[in-house]
Amino acid sequence: MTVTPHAWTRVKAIFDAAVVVDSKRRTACVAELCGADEILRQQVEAMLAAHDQADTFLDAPAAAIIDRQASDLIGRTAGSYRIVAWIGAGGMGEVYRAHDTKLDRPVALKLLPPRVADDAERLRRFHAEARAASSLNHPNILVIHDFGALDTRPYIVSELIEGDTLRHRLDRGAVPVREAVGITMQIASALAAAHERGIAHRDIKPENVMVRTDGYVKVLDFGLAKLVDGQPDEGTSFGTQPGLILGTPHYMSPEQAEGKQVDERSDLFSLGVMLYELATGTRPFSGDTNLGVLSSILRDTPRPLAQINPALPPDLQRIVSRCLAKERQRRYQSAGDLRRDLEELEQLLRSEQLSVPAIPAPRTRVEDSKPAIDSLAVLPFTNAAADPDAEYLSDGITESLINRLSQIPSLRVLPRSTAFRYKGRDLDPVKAGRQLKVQALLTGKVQQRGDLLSVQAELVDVRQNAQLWGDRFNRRGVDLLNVEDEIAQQIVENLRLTLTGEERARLARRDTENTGAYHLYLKGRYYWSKRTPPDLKKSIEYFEGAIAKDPGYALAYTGLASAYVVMTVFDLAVPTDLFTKAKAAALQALEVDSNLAEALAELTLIQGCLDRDWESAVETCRRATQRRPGYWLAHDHYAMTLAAHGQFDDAIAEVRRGQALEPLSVVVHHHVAWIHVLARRYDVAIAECRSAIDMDPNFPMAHMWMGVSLEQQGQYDDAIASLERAVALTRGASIAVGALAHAYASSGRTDEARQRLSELRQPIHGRYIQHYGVALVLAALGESDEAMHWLELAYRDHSLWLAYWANVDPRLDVVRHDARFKTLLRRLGFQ
Amino acid sequence: MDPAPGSMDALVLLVHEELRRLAHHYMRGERVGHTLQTTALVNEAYMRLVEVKRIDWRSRGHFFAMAATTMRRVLVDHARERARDKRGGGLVFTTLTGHAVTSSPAIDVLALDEALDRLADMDAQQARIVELRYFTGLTIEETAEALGISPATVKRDWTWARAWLYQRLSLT
Repeated sequence: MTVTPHAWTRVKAIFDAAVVVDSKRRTACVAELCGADEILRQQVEAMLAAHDQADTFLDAPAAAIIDRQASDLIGRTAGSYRIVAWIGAGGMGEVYRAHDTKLDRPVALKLLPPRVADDAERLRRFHAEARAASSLNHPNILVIHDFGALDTRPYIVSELIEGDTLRHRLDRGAVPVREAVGITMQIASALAAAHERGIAHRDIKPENVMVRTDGYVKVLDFGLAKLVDGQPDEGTSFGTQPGLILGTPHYMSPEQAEGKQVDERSDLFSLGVMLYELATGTRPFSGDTNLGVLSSILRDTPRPLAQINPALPPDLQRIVSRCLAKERQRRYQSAGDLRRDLEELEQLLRSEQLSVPAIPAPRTRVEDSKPAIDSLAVLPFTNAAADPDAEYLSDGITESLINRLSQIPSLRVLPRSTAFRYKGRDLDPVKAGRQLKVQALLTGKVQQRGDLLSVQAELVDVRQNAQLWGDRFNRRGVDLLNVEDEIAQQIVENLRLTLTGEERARLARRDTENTGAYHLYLKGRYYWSKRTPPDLKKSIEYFEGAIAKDPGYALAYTGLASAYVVMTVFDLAVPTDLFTKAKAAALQALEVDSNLAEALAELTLIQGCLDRDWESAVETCRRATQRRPGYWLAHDHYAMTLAAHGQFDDAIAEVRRGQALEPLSVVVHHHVAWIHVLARRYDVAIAECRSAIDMDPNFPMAHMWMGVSLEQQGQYDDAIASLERAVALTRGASIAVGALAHAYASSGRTDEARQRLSELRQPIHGRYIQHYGVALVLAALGESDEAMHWLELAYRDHSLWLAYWANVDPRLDVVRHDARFKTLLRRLGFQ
Repeated sequence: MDPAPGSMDALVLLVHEELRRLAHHYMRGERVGHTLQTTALVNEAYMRLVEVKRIDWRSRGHFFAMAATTMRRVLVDHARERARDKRGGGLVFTTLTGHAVTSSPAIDVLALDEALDRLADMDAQQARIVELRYFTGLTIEETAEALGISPATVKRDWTWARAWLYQRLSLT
């Protein structure tokens, strides 16, 4: 009998009185209090009975428990992996969280159905393929660690991802368009890398994509479909034998649905289905049964996106339609092509979001029989003068044209680092254009004789091997800016690009009107980019010269700030002084243009090192990346700041963003390696260093991070070899010597460590010692008092290494428990 | 970081986010049979918000009062999510004595949530008392202090509410 609402107060009053009475006398007490009201009495009695039965009900505070029969595999060991928790299950098997007892790290262990072990040859081929995909070291491909078998069930061991599957995400409906494009772009990027090695995925669907908590996307299970399908390469048994259906058919390509031969383009169809679903929340092909879905895939044209959500951009429709073409010849022919289109769309969406009010950028092009050109590479202009010093001019013009033309949304311009790979090479424009996958190529020659400047430029349509435009400018005086304006104008006209007024204004924008100042600035940049101590000093003189000629030249101030900041990592002067100068210059630049991303990117490092004001530093980088999402260094500096705080997943995502913008720059590789050393993901750091060394064997920092990573992995001999190279290439920079001596110390070569240490501590006149490097060695030798002393000196001098490394540097783990060290970190602004 | 003084919404939001984050952190990917003590969670949230982020609460009781409703929400959301994902198993409440799970029957989180709503329809204060006692582990005295009523009232209402909820849950 439950308590009725209108009796509630009365029942409770009698209950309150009776419940404290001895149970033997309780019935009588209730009867007395209720009088003749039988219904009331029954309600009270029922409540008292409930009270007695409730016993300790709710007495102890809530403890939530996951209620399921515990899997009997938990606690078992497979090879060197201890299974610790169940994560999920799918058509391909069950996934567990496991602990790698050899390497002491968490991993994911996927148990496959026992039947796949029946065909040893197929299993072997799967292993080879999965390993090949994993060894691409692509940030969007799940890393496979190992294979094995538990009882009769084969298993795969991989990195453990914290996040949700895309399926989980889609269960909550459509995602914002920019996010949809971003996710698809990352998958396309993974596919591009795998396809290049001839590996198709064959089962692209939301269940096989993980979205990490930081937004990073990982594609799982390359090649697994072929193994688990139980069918040879020709396709699947779908449709004819419904009993064998695994998972969902919604993401299959028409050729898969028909059981025909499958190739890489099949993955692009599946990805198109996912992009459609991400953007609209509904699937393009549906049916009541699996067979119905398959016939829809073969026959139906999906509803246009705009019918579902009119706000979706037309460009997205174009991309989706191309992915979903029934005939594979009409789809994108490579994942790379798809990714590029998505990148462009993303940039467009970004710029639309930034410009208020959001007017869709008109992208009308003059209609003509020939399709308009939408991609261009500006190859480094050659320096035709005898004087090698005039190289600053040819490089400067190239860079400036790349910067200007990149402002046009309808034109994809190859990033600077990619273009500069072709510097000094004699090439056939058609071949180069094909290699670079662009439709047009701009080449040129610069010659300066006395005050006569001669610039020759040529624009070639790669598709037709035809010259679109060519001209020679002979100018007196220092009329460089006008020449650049004219070249940019000619390109716009000859590529038949139609620009909006705003785009036109941006294209014509000049950072200075003073051509003399511009020349000096270009010289400063030229020497700055060489990054050796004498060149940096030279660059400062030029930047100062440019400022003298045009005191409102924001970029020149920025160059100056940057030169000082770069100098702090070398042994050139006390960092405090350099940072103070850098700060003054950066603030000057921001006074002229408060949103200048280049200046903000420098300021952020200064705020971290000099001001120890991390909150502002983070705010500044965020602003820089928002103001100019296409500026790679802003992403890199943001990443460093995040990494210094141990936010590695975010840092990695950010530095990869920078890398996507300048994929072939050694400096970016160096930054990516830096972040991964701090995140203690040494394998990735080593791979990045290898790529950097492939590009430029003499780039010192690549050898440095290679050495540090190898040392952390216990490969001391190789580590020492790398660090010795770093020392040689930096001409004995103290931070490199410190790293080397640290490696000696940890490998047990104490005498050599001490030898290096005493060299380090010898003050050389006019040379600054990076105290942080010395402290590293002392820490490794167990001399913590001394190490703390040197860390204090680094603190006093506002060392960049201390600010950006100490909080997470693996080499300082030995002093991490020391109260003095903890205090030091706090004084540096951590926690 | 500090919300505007006196801005209750900001504080509630902060507590909510912190609890949600912690709960998510502890619940996700945990093995079946894993238990999570809400009081430990609330205490951790308290430590983080008060000692790390230096947010000044009027009193400890004030914080726990706020956390109770949020904790309930967080756990119910988790239970809903788990109910949708059958493979992961559902979320239930159990009784922890020391560190051992007793054999007492588990309580369905969603059913309890619903019952608490019905209780609140009848008497909001009673539902509040249950939240404070059950979701953040406040004692009778602490609950009285947080609600500004006498311990005797808390004790009476608690006894009644417990019996009422028990009856309702065993009948449904």
